[in-house]
Amino acid sequence: MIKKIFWGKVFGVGALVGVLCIVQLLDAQDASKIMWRVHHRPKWRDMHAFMTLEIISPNGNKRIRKMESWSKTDPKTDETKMLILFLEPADIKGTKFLLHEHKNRDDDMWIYIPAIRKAKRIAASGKAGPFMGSDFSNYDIGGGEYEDWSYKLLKEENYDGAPCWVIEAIAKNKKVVKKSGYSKMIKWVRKDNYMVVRTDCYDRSGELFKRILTNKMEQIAGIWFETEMTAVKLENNRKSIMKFEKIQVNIGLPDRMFSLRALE
Amino acid sequence: MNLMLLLLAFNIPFGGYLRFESYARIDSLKQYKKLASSIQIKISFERGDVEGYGAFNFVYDRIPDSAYIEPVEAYFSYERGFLGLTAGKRIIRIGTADWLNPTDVISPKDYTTLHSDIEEFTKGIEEMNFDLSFSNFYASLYIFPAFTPNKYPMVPFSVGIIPNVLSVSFFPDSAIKPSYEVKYTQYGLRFQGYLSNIDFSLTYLSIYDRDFDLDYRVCRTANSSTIVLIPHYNPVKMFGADFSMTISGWEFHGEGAYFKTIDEDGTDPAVKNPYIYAILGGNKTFLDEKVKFGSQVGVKHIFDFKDSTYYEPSLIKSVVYGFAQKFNYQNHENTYYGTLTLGYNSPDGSWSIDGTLVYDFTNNDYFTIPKLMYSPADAVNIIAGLFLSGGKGSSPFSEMGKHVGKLAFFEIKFNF
Repeated sequence: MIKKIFWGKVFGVGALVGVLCIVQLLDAQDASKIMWRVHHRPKWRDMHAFMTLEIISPNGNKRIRKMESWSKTDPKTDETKMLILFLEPADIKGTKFLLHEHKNRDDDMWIYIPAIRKAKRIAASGKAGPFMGSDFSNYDIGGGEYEDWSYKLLKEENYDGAPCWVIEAIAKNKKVVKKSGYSKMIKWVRKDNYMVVRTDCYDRSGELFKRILTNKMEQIAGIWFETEMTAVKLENNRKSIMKFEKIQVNIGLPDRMFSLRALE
Repeated sequence: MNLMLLLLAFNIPFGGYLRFESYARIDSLKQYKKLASSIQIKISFERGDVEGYGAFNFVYDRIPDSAYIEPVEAYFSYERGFLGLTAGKRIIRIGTADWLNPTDVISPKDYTTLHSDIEEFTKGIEEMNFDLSFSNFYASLYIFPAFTPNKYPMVPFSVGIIPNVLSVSFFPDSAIKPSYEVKYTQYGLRFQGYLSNIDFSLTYLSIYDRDFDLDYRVCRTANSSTIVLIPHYNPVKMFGADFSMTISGWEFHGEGAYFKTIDEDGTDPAVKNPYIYAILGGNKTFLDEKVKFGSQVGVKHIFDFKDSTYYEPSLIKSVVYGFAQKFNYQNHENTYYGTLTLGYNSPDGSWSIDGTLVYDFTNNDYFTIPKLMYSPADAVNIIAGLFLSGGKGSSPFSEMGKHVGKLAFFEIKFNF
């Protein structure tokens, strides 16, 4: 009898653990599927837009950067080329930044500084570094790689009135932590359009230090896009707001726009 | 101001800056070397495939009391498909190295003024260039119809070598340089592009050397002789190459050039020998790009180098060689260089410290412009720093040190 009870308990615990594992696995699979759709949302062939970046210090001082950007995605490789021209402030006007994204190796990046009058290749290690001195990192702007993270569905809840999945993304290895600057991210993904509306970013030591919010989004040529985002450093409340305006898509940008010659 | 109103009236985009600069000797802060107020106006426009750009400086310098307008650049460019054409006065920079650029010999340098930014020593040159681009590569043909030499602070002098027997006189204003004739047109070819994570370029230039050689004549009287030295700008051919690549967060670069002078066997005491000049280095940023580090090493090797005893059989040639070595710094067969760059940007980007030290290990000479930059508001920059050069040898750095001394500078710049 005792033996029966013992084996019954063992079986019961085993079944519970098994069910929990399956639930975990299903959650992981669901989370991975959701994030796969987030990362593989349809893209435009190309895009031209004006960007404004407001950097607001904890004491309220505001610095404004204005840029014009062009980007083009290769439908075969899904690799993007991007050219950014700085318009304001006046001391960096005319500076150009060219990015050739690569899936299998470090991105190629060049900067053209008018005072030097030549394009210089710059190292791609700065992905975790700040984007134009703002609270967004280069990694935030580039979006990161789907394969770099392990996903887990934490819960489902409404955010700003929209039903969302709350998904934890944990860096798969130290290389990803180094590249992104994040050990973990928790993302709120809208169920209706797979847009990320909030990301809580955890630093290399696992501390929550930054929050990225999508303030506005628009559907342009059938594709959803974040037209205004805010990044807030939680330790000092320094924040940056990035806005996209006058967005044009699928306008047939030529490849030569993204060449070294176009930089100089 | 009327010019700005005119630009506004015609809806031509313009920008520029208003700047005040002051340079004073560290050892005698009462003595200013530069007290200048300047305004730069930059205009640019685009009509179809044609773009135009112009930048003009209006400068008033109290030391010496002078006011002048300097056209920095003014050019048109036309681009259609894979073809491009640019014509006008333009600054052309080539090479991947920092501060020491062996291949960067197209645009002339003006070392008679002081600047806190090394790029400002480079001046525009009249040129036409045709570009042909294909995929990741492009080729350029440059034509330079006029010659502009590098400018150094030179003064005429006369010095006795053997009292009452032999003297030397130098007349910089009588320089021999190519005149404005088609036959003296200079040209260059450049092919550049990138493969994977490596940028590269190959350059060939057939130009006149922007740094002078000497021309000498001997004037004899009954009891004495005078060697008259005159700057002479000779043709030179340059074969250059450079590369830049990124590996694991580092940027590595290299740049080298072979200069074929007219003294191919190195037997003319007044003309530079052929030489090769190469630089290798790397850059990296740390702590989310707040800390900047860069370092380079380089060597200049002179072919068929002759020591001072070679010309001793001829007193005249020996004396001329001594002065030529002093002017063109070909006083060692091999000269070794190193550079070190360190920088720090504050987390909020409002201030930074930056400094590059260039050191000539052969002559023990140095040059550096460490500076502190503060930006109290967008487009407003306040810079304070030191302009230091000197050493014990004979190099451009020690010459600059002797000429201008060790300086402290302050600069405020409002960009619009």
